[in-house]
Amino acid sequence: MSGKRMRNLFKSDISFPEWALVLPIMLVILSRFIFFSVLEPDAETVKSSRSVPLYSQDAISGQVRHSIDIIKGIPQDSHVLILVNYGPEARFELEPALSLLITHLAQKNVSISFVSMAPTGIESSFLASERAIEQGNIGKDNFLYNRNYTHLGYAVGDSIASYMVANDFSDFAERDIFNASTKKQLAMEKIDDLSDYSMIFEFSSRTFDGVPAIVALSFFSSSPIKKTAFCTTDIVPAYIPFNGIYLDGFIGGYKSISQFKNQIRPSEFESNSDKIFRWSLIYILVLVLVSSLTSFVRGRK
Amino acid sequence: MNILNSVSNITALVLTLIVFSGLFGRNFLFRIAESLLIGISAGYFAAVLLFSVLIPTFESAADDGQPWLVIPILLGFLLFLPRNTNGPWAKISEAVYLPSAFILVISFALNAPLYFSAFLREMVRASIVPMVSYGADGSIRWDLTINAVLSVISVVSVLWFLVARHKIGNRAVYSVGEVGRLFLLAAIGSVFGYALVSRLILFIGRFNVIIQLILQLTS
Repeated sequence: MSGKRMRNLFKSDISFPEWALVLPIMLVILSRFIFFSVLEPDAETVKSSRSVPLYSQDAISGQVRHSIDIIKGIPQDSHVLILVNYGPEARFELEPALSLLITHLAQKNVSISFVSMAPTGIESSFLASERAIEQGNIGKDNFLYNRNYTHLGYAVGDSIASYMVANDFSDFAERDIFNASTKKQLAMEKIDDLSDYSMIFEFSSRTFDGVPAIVALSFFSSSPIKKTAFCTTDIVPAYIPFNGIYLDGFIGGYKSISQFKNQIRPSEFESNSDKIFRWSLIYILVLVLVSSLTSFVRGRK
Repeated sequence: MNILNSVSNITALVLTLIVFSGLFGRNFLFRIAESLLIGISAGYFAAVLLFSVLIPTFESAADDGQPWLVIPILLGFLLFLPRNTNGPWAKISEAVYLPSAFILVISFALNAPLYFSAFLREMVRASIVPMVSYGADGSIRWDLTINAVLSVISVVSVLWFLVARHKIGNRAVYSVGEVGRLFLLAAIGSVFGYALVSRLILFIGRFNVIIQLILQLTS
């Protein structure tokens, strides 16, 4: 980069938004890591009085509480189906929640069947499972492929895939992602139809033909299974209309997901980082709003 | 930390920094990262489709004696037909649209009832029925009631807006239409806000990854 270009970057009328966005985030995250990881390696045991009380641990929305109650009500030794429809773009938002859910289910000895309707969802489901094994204290031998979980593969065709999974599940679930028969898999024991699952989850960062996959699945399926959806912030509007009609539980967006995480496994470290991220987001949104209003008032094109 | 992990972490770190360099304008390294992303995505999707959809489908088709499953593959090859040719191939080249038309028709047939039932009927019913909601103690739930009234106003005014934009001369009709425009703008604004927040979370997430990787590599 030439010297002139570099000098231009600091001229507020040219690149103010870029620097205003990047620098505070850098400072905030660096301060977080310097404080929690370098200066205070045992920060996880920091007393709550030390942290800034931005919100109470118990101040969670009724929707998140209701969804957690549904999840906690999943019977021991049952089976659940998890649709993993997000890729690397949503990993930061959804993977911690998915791995926590996997840990919670594994502790109750609930068998999990993964299905992906987005190709990148295959990798995401295995990464979340690995994270659950590493961070969830369930032990590598207590959460095994075939015995505790399986992946039924990539359902191709968007709404056609939803129709296929809902109406011809036994045929769809005949083989797993590795093309092995699921008949002898313990994770698929007693599963002949969608109605044999105690609950269906979806973790998604996209819709399929404009409709959330779990909604299409409920629409095409006649079985009254409980359904809970987790989604990224950008597609929350696509899920809201179906909440309560097709969805029993709904945890959408960063705020709700962080509330879910703090309720399932309270951690001072996670809670503090969520607070910092949330304040960074508020700062950025205010900045964008003020910049837009300033441009609007000045009439700058 | 094993060598494979270190290599993948360093690669992730370097590529993330290269992508962030795009904030200062498109440069050579940014273009390489962009091409890598497109190439790797295409390769990954092709591998997933081949190994987890096509091969298993045809293996099970062969095992179960269902050779008719080859037909979709043959239809798929129609996409390779030359387009817009003149002469004797002109009629046949139109068959290139057959696979897309087939998928479009099936998707429409499945989605039309879904849209009408889920988006229109159920959504509107859930929003406006009952118009006045009561709590357990018999008092009016103002939040739900206002929500229902606003839902009715928004649906009516947006429909009105579609008509009013052609009736600019009529002041009364136009004014009611402007209310619909306001609701539309609020909807578009909220969708934009959600998308913006999501991208910012992604940006902060990648930043978080960089710091974590640096700490891991230096520890």
